[in-house]
Amino acid sequence: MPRIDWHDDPSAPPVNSLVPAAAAFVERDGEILLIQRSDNGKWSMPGGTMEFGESLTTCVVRETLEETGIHIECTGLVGVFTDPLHRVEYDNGEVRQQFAIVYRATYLAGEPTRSPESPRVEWVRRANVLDLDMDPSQRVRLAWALQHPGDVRIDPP
Amino acid sequence: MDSRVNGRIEHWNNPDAPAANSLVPASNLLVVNSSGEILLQKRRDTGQWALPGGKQELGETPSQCAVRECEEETGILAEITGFLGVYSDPNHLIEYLSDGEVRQEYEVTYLGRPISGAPAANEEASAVRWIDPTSLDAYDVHPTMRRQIDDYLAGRYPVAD
Repeated sequence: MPRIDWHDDPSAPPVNSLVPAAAAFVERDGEILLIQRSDNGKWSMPGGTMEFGESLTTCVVRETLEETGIHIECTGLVGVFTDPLHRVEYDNGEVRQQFAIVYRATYLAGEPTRSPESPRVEWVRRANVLDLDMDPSQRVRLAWALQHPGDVRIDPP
Repeated sequence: MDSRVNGRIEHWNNPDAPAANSLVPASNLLVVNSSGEILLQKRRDTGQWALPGGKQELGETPSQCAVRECEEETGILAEITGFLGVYSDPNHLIEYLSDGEVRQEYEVTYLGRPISGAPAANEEASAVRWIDPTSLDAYDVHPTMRRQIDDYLAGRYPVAD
């Protein structure tokens, strides 16, 4: 499913979707679990949107397993991340406002395993994370998670 | 446990609840004044006391939503001071009788303090009050909402549900 990220762009299509979504910042021995996305080729934390019948933490544990083969456990919050001027357009016509809760999580079991959504799955050393090619919104989330271990980031009022 | 007054039914751990058909972000604001009192509104749709809050609109952030809903439902303009937590219990469903929406709970709750305004009843709230935590038990508050208030009072936050 190709996606286009529109950042503060007057020619962006109007937003028509706002959904509960979450991502996981999984750290193990100084390395962070990241995927390269099949839909835009960029690197990101694993995550996805909440489905009926699950809580948001259940969602992020499920999505991480699907996208990386890794079982995790949520231990806390990195923060609330959103930018109403960042719209994500999917080829089914959905234009979603960027919004996600990011959790801190620990490794439980499993080996990095690629999926159709994530052709590459890697443990990346902390110092190299921000050097990867990623969307600016992803960089904001990862920078906060790396640099503010004790603080929950609140979206700007 | 259900409570039905006027258009909105809270289903919590109810095996007979209808299936959820809506999953949308909502925000709440727990406002505490300098006396330690908590701002609650008496909802016209359930008759129960609750934190101000509501559905996040396209184009706004969740914290903007919390501040807007608080002002609309209580008359109090507040500012965000912290983050209480994410509440997403799939066994809490909110049924709206007017349009058939059955919403699965997904709420992010912020902490705030009042800047201006005075508690005032309005279209959505039949009463608005600053309530001392020691008298909370005298108010009918749905357990899913009371849980959020109790998390704050016990210092159990941020909640990562």
